[in-house]
Amino acid sequence: MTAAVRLAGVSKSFGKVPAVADVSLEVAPGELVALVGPSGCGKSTLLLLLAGLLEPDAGTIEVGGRLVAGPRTWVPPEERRVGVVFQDAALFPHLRVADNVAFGVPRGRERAARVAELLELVDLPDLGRRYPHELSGGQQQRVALARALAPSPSVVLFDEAFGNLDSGLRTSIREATVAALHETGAAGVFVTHDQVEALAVGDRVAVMRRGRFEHVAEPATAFHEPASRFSATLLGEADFVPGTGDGAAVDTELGRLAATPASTGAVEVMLRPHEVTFTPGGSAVVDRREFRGASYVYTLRLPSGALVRSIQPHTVDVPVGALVTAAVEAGHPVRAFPPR
Amino acid sequence: MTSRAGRRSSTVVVATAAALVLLPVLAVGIGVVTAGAAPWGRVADSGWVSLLGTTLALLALVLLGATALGAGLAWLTTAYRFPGRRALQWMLVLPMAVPAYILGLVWSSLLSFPGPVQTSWRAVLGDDAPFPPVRTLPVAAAVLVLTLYPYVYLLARVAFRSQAATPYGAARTLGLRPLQAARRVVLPLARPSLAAGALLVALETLSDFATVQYFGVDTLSVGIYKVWRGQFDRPAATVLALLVLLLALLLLGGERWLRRGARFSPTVHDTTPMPAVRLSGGRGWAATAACSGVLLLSVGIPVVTLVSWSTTTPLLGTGGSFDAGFLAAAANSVLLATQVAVVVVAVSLLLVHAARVDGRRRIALGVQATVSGYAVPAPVLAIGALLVLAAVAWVLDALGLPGGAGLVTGSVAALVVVYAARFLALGYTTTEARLAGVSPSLTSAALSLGASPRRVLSGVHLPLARSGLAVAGVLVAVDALKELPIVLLLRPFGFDTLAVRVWQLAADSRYEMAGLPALAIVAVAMIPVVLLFRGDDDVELVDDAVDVLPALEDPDHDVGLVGVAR
Repeated sequence: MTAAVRLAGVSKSFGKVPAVADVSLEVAPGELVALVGPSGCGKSTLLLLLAGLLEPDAGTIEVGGRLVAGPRTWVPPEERRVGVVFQDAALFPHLRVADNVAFGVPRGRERAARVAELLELVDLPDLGRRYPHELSGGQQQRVALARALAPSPSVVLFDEAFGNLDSGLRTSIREATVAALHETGAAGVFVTHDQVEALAVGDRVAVMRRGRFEHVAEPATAFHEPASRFSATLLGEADFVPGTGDGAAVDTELGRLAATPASTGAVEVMLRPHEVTFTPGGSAVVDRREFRGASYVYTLRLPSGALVRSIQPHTVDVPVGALVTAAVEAGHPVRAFPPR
Repeated sequence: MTSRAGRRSSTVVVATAAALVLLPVLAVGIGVVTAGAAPWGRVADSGWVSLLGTTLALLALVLLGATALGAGLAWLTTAYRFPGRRALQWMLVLPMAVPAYILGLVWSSLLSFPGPVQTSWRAVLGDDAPFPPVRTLPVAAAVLVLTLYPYVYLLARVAFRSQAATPYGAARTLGLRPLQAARRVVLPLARPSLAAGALLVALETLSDFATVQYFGVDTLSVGIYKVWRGQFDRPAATVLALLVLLLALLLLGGERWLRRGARFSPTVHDTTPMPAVRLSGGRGWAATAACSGVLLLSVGIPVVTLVSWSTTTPLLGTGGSFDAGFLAAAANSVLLATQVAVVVVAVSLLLVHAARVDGRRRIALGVQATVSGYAVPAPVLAIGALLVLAAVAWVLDALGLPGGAGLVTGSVAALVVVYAARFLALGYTTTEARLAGVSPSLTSAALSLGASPRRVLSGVHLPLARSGLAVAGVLVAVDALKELPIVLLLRPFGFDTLAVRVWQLAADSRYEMAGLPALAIVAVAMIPVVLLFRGDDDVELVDDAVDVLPALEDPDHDVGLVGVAR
C-alpha cells in the first residue's frame, strides 16, 4: 500500500540556521502521527514543507504516492491534496461558515451536499450561515477541520491546532478530530508541543529536536523506552537514578531493577513518578511535596543525594522530613542510559 | 502647579490645536453662507461645472491607476521572489521624494514639442509624424499616479504581510492558484487598507493645482487659485473651496464605507510568512523589469534630467541658476521649514502629553480633530485661513490697532500657522507612535508617585519622546519644504521658496533654470524616505525565521507608515 506521506532526507535551512535537517518519515494511510518538540525545533517548518508553503533545500516529499517535491520536482500547494488546520483556524473572515467549508470543493451539484455532510461530521450542522467571528474558538477550529477535509485530502496537517483552546475544550475537540479523521480515512500529522496531546492523539509519536527526529515510535514505547534523555523528559516527568548493571539487571538504591537495554557497569535508570512508591521508615527523606488536587507528588532524597519523585493518591499524607523507603513498581523493564 | 491647573492647561493646548484645523474649515462654511448669492454668478462664470467634471475625471483616473499600481507592486514584491526583490521592495517608496509638481515639470518638458522624446520621434518617423497630445488629463493623471502610488503600496504591503499570509496559505492548500487566492481571499481582506491608501491619494490629488496646470487641466483647485490669485475674488474662491471640501468629505465617507468590512479583520497578529513563489527565468526578470520601469519613470529619468539641467546652465554669473534669487528662495524655504517644524514638534509633544495625562473624552476628541487636519485639502485650509485672518484684521482695525492689513495680503507668520495646521497630524502621529511602545502605566506610575503633570512632561514624556520628536521634526520640515499649494495661495508678495521658484520657472518654460532648485528639493526629500524605509526588510527576517526566530516586528516600522498616513 502506498504511504500517505513519505519524507526522505528532507532539509531546510534559513540562512545558516538549519530548521529541518535530513528528516525521513513515512505515514501510512489513515495513520495519525504526532510531531512533538520544543518551540524552534523545526516541527512547524516540516509542516509547511509538507503543505508546499515552503520549498525544501534537499530531499524528496511524496504525498499519496506522488512525488511533490524533489530535486527537479515542485508541486504547488494547491495541487497537493494536503489539508491544513492552522493554529488560529485561519478561517476566511469575509466568508460564511458554509462558504469557508465549500472553498476547496469544486463547483458542482454535490458541493452543497458535501458541505452539509462535513458540518454534520464536525457536529455543527446549523451554523453554516454564521460568520467566523460569530463562533467560539472551539467551533472555529471544527469549521477549520471541516474545511480542510472537504476536498478529501489524503493527509491533514494540524499546526498546534488546539493550542489556543482551553484545556477542557481541547480534549473534546481533539477526540472529535481523531474520530472525524478515522471516519474519512485521511492520515493526520499533528504538530504540538504538548506531550499529553502527542501521546493521546498519535498512532506514533515523533520527537523532534534541532531539526532532527530524536525518536519515532508508538506512544507507549516512546514514553517507556525513550531513545534519549531529551525524549524522556519531553514526554513526561522523569528522574534519573544512578545504578550498577551486571548484564542481567541494575542495582540501585531502590532495589534491583530489570532494565533495557541490558547494561554492565555504571548506568542511570529513568524512573517516572507514577512508577515510584514508598513505605514508611527507611533512609530516604521526604524533601518536598506538591499538591495536585487528586494526588501528591513527593520528592524523595535518597541516601546518595539523588532526587526521585513519586506520585501518590491524596490519601497518602506524609509530612516533609519523614523517613521512607522507596521502591519501583514499573511493570516493565526500566530504561537505562549511560551515566552523564 | 496643581494637578488641576495642569489639566486646565492641557485642555487649552488641545483646544488651540484643534481650532487651528477646525476654524479654517468652519470659516469656509460660514463664508459661503454670509456671502449670500453674490459670488455665485462669478463662480458660474468660472465654469465650475466643467471644473467639477474635470476634477472627478482626474480623481477617478488617479485613484484607479494608483490603487492598481500600488496594490499590484505590493503583491508582486510580497508574494513572489525575483531578482533584486530585496532592494526593489524598499526603493519602490522613493517616488514619494519627487513631488508631483517636479515630476510633472520634468515630463511636460521631456514630452514637449522641442523635447527629446518628440525630437527623436520626428527623427525616426519623419517631420509630419503625429505625436499624441501631451497636455491632456490622462498624462496629468499618469504623473500623479507615479508619485502618489507609494501610499497604496505601503499600506497594501502591511496588510498583505500582517493579515493575509495564513489565509493565503490556507487558500492555496485548498486548491487555489496564487492569483485566484489573491482575488478571492487577499483582496477582500486588504480592502480596508487599500481604501485608506486610496483616500490619501485622492486627498493629495484634490490639493494639487500646480502639477495639473502644466498639462492644461483645470480642476476645482486650479479654479480656486485663479479666482483668488488672479482676481482676488475671495467670496468666489470660498465657494469653490467649499466644493472641494465637500468632495473631500465624500471621499472620507467612501473610505468609511469601504472599511465597513474591517470588523472581519483578524485580531490576531499573523506571524506566518507569506509563502512567496519563486518566479523563474523570464518571468522573474519580467517582474524585475516592471518594478525597475516604474522607478525609472518616477525617479531615475527625472533625477537624471534635473542633474543635466543644472549642469547645462552656468551656475554662477548672469543667467546662472545659483543666483541671488535661488539663494533667497533657499533661505526662505529653510527658515519657513524650520519654524514650522519647531512649532509642530512643540505642539505635538504637548498633545501627546495631554492625551496621556488626561484621559477625558474631550481631550481625545480634540486630539482626533487635530489629527483629522490631514484630510482637509490644502486649498481649503488656505482659503479658510485667509477668511479667519480677514476676520482678525477686521477686529484689529475696529479696535484701531495696527497690523491688520498685513495679515490679509500675506505674512510669513500666517504661513507658519497654516503650515502647522496642515502638518500637525504628521507630527502628532509620529511622536505618538514613538511613544506607543512606552506603557501608559509609566505615566500613571509617575503621577501616583506625586509628580505634577509638568514634571511628568519634563521628566518622563519629553525624554522618552525625544527620538520621536526628532523624526517628527525632520518629516515635517521636509514636507514643509516640498509644500506648494498653501504657499502659492498665501505668500506675501515677492516671497519665494524653492518650490515656488521651481513652479514659476516651469510656468515660464525656463526648465534648465528650474533644475537646481528642483534637485535641491528632491535631494532633501530623499533623506526621510531613505531613513524610514531602508530598514523595511523585517519581512525578510520573518520569511527566513518561521519557527526558528519567532516573528520580529520592527517597532520603528510604524513610524514610517504614520509618516505616510497624514
